[in-house]
Amino acid sequence: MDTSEVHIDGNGVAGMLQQIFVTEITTARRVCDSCGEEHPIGAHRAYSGAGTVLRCPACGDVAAFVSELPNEYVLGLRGAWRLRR
Amino acid sequence: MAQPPRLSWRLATIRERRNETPRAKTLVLEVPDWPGHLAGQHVDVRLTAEDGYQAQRSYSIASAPEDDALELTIERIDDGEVSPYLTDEAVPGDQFELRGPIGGYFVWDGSSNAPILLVAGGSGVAPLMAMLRHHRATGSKVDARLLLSARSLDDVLYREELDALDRPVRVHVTLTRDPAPDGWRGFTGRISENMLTAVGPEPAVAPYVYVCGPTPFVEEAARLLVELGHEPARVHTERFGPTGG
Amino acid sequence: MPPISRGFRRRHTDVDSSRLPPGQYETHDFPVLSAGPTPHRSLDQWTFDIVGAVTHERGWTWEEFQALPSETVTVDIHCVTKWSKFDTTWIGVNVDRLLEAVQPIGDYLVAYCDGGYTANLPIADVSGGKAWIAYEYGGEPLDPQHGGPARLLVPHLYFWKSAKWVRGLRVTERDEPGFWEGYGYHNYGDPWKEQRYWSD
Repeated sequence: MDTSEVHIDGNGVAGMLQQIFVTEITTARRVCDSCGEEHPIGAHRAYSGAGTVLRCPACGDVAAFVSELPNEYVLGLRGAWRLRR
Repeated sequence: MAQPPRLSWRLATIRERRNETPRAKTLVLEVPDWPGHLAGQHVDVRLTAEDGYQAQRSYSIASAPEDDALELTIERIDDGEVSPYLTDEAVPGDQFELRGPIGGYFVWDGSSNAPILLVAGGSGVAPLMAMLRHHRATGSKVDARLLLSARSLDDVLYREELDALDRPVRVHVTLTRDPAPDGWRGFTGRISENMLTAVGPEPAVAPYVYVCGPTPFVEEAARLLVELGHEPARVHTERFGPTGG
Repeated sequence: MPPISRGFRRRHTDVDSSRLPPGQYETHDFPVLSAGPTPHRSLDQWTFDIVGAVTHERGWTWEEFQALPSETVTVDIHCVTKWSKFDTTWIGVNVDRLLEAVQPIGDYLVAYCDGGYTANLPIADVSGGKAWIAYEYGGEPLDPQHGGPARLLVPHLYFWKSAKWVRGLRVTERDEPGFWEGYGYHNYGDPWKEQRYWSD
């Protein structure tokens, strides 16, 4: 068991994501542009560096960058994010 | 699910404090205009010190949607910054900011008849307890099984309440600290494929699986479950991080 | 001002505030922050290279790197997430020594790492005794969680510039934003001027 692993689930950053997307986002699904697999955002892996990085649970590639600045969020999204209407 | 689109910070007041184990307490909260929640959801808690310093943590909601007050169970992390405040210092009447309910991914609302398998590491049992309380409150007939891993019997959260749960709920505990108490007839040691097989249900009945606890525990449990044949898409995980919530 | 939680305070309040940059709090822990999973690179596969706008590109294996003269430094470090840690002790190779071997032509560099992380810096900010490639912390080999086998150490800037799991420096003619610099964080990152974000 690798106890140096420090990620939590996308579900764990759901509060912040809901502030940004103004809707519940953890059940949205994302098709990875690296490996092609589709997984809910809640199952993605969330890492906290300076900001937050979400990674595909299958291949580890970056799904999103989320930086919380005092007056803005800065986002980078990769892959196809599917948000039900 | 119905909920306000933009989360805002609300002021929560501690109504009551309840000892659960030597290391954990439940805070019963008043939250004005609380919109309700689904079992499995969590809240973000924010504390502000007099000098403006802020700390924020996430805690699972332990109470059922049917309960009349919001309950959070906090386990004290010894060199933590927020949990020792909430377990040792904060008293009824004290306040903090709270945002939620949050999370649609790790939720059980009882709307499906599919069996559920709940796997908890330590204080990871909190959101799963919300699910079992919801199960009880709605008189659900869903086959629900809990496998809870704890260091010792003293560390088992909600022990009496879990003991009192009846069919179709089944509760299994594994104690990881040596030696187990005299007369102990439950499991011992870290969770394993054999243990999960003994608890069931079998993957063929396609249960929804919810695993919650520290990240290393959840990683291992999820790996075992998938290896046993559970469909990865039906295994929902909530990882606390390296040490805990 | 948000509502105060009676009796809540941060863990350590006995602070030499002249050592704290604005907006920072002292910690006695060493929080682990990361943009991704901890890479595991075996030492027999590890190399450190300096490439790009240099007179001679150069690479070192772990053995060659360990054979270079090293320095022990004790420095304060400052994370953009507001914690500062005083008197951290590291052993590593001074970047000046590495740059001498390559004779840079460009004025900027991008540090690149196992796991894909990057951070950009002016050459001037890793010269003149300001930066090291560190492989020991607190008297022990650098833990993978904290960037081991080796990380960049640039204590005068916010610690996201001290790239973990560093494998090389790519010298460039133009400044190229790295991982966080591309997503909201300040291109330079001086904690004493509180240069945390793009808007600062």
